[in-house]
Amino acid sequence: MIPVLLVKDHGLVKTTKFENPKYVGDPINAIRIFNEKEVDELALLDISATPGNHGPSFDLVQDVASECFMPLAYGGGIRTLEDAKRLFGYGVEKVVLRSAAASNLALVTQIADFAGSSSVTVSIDVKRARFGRVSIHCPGTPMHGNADWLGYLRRATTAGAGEIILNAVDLDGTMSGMDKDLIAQAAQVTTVPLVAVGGVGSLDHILAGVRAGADAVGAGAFFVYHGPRRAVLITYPGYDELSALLGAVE
Amino acid sequence: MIAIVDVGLGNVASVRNMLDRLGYAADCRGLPDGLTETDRYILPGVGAYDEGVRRLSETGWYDHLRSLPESTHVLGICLGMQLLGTSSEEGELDGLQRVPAHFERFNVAPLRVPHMGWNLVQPVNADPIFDPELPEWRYYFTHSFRAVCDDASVEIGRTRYNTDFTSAYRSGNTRGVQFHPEKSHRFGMSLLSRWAELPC
Repeated sequence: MIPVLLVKDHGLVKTTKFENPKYVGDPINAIRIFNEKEVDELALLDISATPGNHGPSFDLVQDVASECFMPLAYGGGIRTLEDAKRLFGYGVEKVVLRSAAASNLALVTQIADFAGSSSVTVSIDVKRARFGRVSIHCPGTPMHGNADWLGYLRRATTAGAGEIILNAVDLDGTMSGMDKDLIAQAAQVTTVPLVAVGGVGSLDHILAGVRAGADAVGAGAFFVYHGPRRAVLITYPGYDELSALLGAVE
Repeated sequence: MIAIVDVGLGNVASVRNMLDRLGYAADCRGLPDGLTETDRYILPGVGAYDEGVRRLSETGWYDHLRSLPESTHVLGICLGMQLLGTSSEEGELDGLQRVPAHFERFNVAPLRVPHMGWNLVQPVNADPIFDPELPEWRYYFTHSFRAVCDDASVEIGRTRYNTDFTSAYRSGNTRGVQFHPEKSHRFGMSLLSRWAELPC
């Protein structure tokens, strides 16, 4: 189970359906709390890097990585192999490519050749239109609006992605449950670990995601919001609680 | 002094950060100049095997690490563990030959490769880097190759991923761990501080 932290202009934010980023705190402070809670893994995604065209926020990553005693994945603004090398040098385990992969899968291959496929994650955002038509959501890239998301997922794996993050845009920040059908379809075609994100609001939702075929589940709002009024409070279930939950799957 | 071999294979900063947190002085070193057999060495690494061997050779680290006596404390992490062995299916170059083990591609169908995520280690042959008081030994893994020991007595940790494999080994004072202690919070801190405290 992986907290997915979104960063915008160096502040920690949370979006709803990929919109309305709301400031929820200081990223370094959040990392310290997640350290204490012995989180299994953390993903940090800078959602302002690509739209702002300013590349990865290297100084922030450096600060975060120096405090992070768990696996760290970083995404946002990565455009070249050099960007990825610099991030690995700071202690990032995995780079997450979304727009860069959708524009140019060769970059995935380059990074995988350099650092091994376990160091490259491809993130794919999918959106459901009316009548259930599913398409890739990746504005500014040739893949945006493409309905062959499963084909893209397969090509990303062939290109060298060692992990896939599947994000259900419509469920982002809603805490209303995961899209089990999407997860099951993706699990059918992936040969690498699948991390499903979008819609987690309870431990039962996580269990449903794993039962549908996800190897891990990522969540944002679930870890940073508390109660019906969505007060900001970083929480993370204890290891015992998680292993009891997931023990039920096996 | 703890010297962290820094030849651009990633992950160096995380190891130093954890040692800093634990209160041990550690230096990331691009070259082995001035270091001796009384220093301690950590060989971290993420990446491809041949590239790793090549970089060690270019920097003089390959010869330095090969010539250290058995009594010097050397710890290889992930790719670093692979580099300490004799050879790997991932590449063609010779490893550092400090531990009699070679590496083979993981073949664990239907489970996925790379083996990525947290998994348990069962200590074997009672090596002091694993605290016997812990209720379990849980670490973060991410790898596609696994050690095959020529001599079963070098195995100090075993992990199950469809099949049992050697997740930690030791020959003399050279040790290798397939997992990432620097990314395994309290379990990793325990292991690294016990390693740093091993008598010379």
